[in-house]
Amino acid sequence: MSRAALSPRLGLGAALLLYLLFLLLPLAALIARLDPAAFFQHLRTPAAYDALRLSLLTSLLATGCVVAIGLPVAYALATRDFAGKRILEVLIDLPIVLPPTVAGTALLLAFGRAGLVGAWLSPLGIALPFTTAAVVVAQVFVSAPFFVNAARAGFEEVEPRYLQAAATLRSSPLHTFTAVLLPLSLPSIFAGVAMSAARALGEFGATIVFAGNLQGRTQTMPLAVYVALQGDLQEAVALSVLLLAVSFLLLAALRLTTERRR
Amino acid sequence: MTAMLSATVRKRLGELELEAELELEAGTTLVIVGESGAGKSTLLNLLAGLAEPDSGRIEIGGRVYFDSTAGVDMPAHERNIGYVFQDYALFPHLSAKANIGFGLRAQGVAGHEVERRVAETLARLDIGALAEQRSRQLSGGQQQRVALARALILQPGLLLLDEPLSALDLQTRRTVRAELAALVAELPGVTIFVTHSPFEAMAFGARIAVVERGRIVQLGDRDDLLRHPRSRYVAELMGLNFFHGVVSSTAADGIAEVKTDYGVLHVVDVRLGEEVFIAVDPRAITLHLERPRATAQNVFAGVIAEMVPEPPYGERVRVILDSEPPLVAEITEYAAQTMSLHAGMPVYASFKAFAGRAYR
Repeated sequence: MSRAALSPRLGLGAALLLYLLFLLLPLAALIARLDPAAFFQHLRTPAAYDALRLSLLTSLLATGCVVAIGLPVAYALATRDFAGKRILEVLIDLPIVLPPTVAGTALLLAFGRAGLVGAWLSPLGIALPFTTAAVVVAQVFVSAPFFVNAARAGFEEVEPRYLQAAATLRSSPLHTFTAVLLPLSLPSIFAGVAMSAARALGEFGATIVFAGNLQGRTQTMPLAVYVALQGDLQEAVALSVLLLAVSFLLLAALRLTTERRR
Repeated sequence: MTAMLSATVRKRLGELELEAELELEAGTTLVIVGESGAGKSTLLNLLAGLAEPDSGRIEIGGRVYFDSTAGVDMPAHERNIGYVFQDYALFPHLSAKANIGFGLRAQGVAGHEVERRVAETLARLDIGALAEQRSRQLSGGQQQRVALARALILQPGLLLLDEPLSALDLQTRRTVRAELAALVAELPGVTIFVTHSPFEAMAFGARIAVVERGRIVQLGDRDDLLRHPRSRYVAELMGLNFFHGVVSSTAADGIAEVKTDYGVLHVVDVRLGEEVFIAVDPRAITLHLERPRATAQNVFAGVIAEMVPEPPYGERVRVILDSEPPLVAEITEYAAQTMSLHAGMPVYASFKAFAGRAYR
């Protein structure tokens, strides 16, 4: 092989290697610090246990809400044209790039005691901030776009021919949605669920601003890691490794479902 | 007897301006033939409710599906119509059986009743062996049967078949066409079969509508189309040479002159002043290397564009001429050889006055 062809190859290889090192080093450092013998013991401390339970609960609830709201929204975006669609698309994507602390502040100003909506809710005895519900609201806010975008892409990939065929077979739009569109875009829906669940699980900034950091009520795993870091390093490491494993598994499962589709 | 289907629709789609009027009685089949882009599929979509006419009225089996003046536009899923798509569009995530039962399930028919009727339909179309297969595992012919079963199980008043044979290879096409024709002949409703192939149209249908650039240019039975084409397009589909003009003079010997867009023709059996169509069989046209003398009454100069051997053995050859108008002559292979005809060669074509078949 000529030198001219060899050098771009070398360059690409070097860049890949460097990037891989950059990704792996922190992860390796984290795992190297783990004391396997004490791993489960650290997860069994009351704070860690509460955080685990709370994270599981809130991210499940958040993902459920995201799917419930996101499916019709994704369907509308995929199948309809309406005024202000472009603006809506930008708004939907906004939480992806918005700093989470800004999201938290905005949520606080909307649903806080003196907030835009909160001021109306508090006389009814409903106070959202610093509750478990607030954690879910924050997670929904930041994770919804991942699901909406994936589901929409899935719907758009389905051949319109199948939907037309269903219509000529006396299938109402709702029946066509559940019996044709949904099954045919299932891989994308799964991908969206996995992405938004992972994002909800990792949510930190919006949660700590809007919901606070109360053990057992609003202290999810990422918050617990942050707190533990200031006290027991081993506990922080144990929680981190657990989060890392869950994130990795979610992404791997996602890969598997999309690969099988091809 | 009142019409089962009566429709008048108008729809503008880009360059195409579709305008069609149909009246069909129960139990009849209409073949719509035309080139791709002529508006055939659009017409089916308008009838099925997959596209909305700009104006018009569609009534099927006594129910108004669309009426632009009354503001009626029944959604596709409420219309009593069956549609077999060109690519069949079987649901890929369902078995053949589930595809066939889809329409009944969509209407909330009970599970055991769906099972029973699917089994009945499978037996009727003789496709029981395919019940559990996914569409991807089925051959083209099998997919077509499943798509047909899926539509027929709902007993549609109007069955639309959009090029149902085009996805099949030649050998299956022949058997499937015969089976399809037999099946469709038994249906109580109206069937509309769309194809781009004149051969298929002749083979499938007794009644044929020819569509050209969004218009039905001729509607009639097979023989009428074959013998009396009323446009160059239909004539070409039927493989005939075609002229259109007005009789400008008649003579005592019975030979009349007809003024056409391509000069004066000599024909027989016409009356002065009438507008006539003239069809000329390609076998009635003679080719010459030099301009022939007066015995043949109609002479055209042209260049050979193409020479196509006629099946089955090619002992006859179709010679397509680049002339005004474009002409087709069918001569023997022997004649072509003795004259050493080849593409690009200038020749003269002629036919006698009585060879042109004139009709109104």
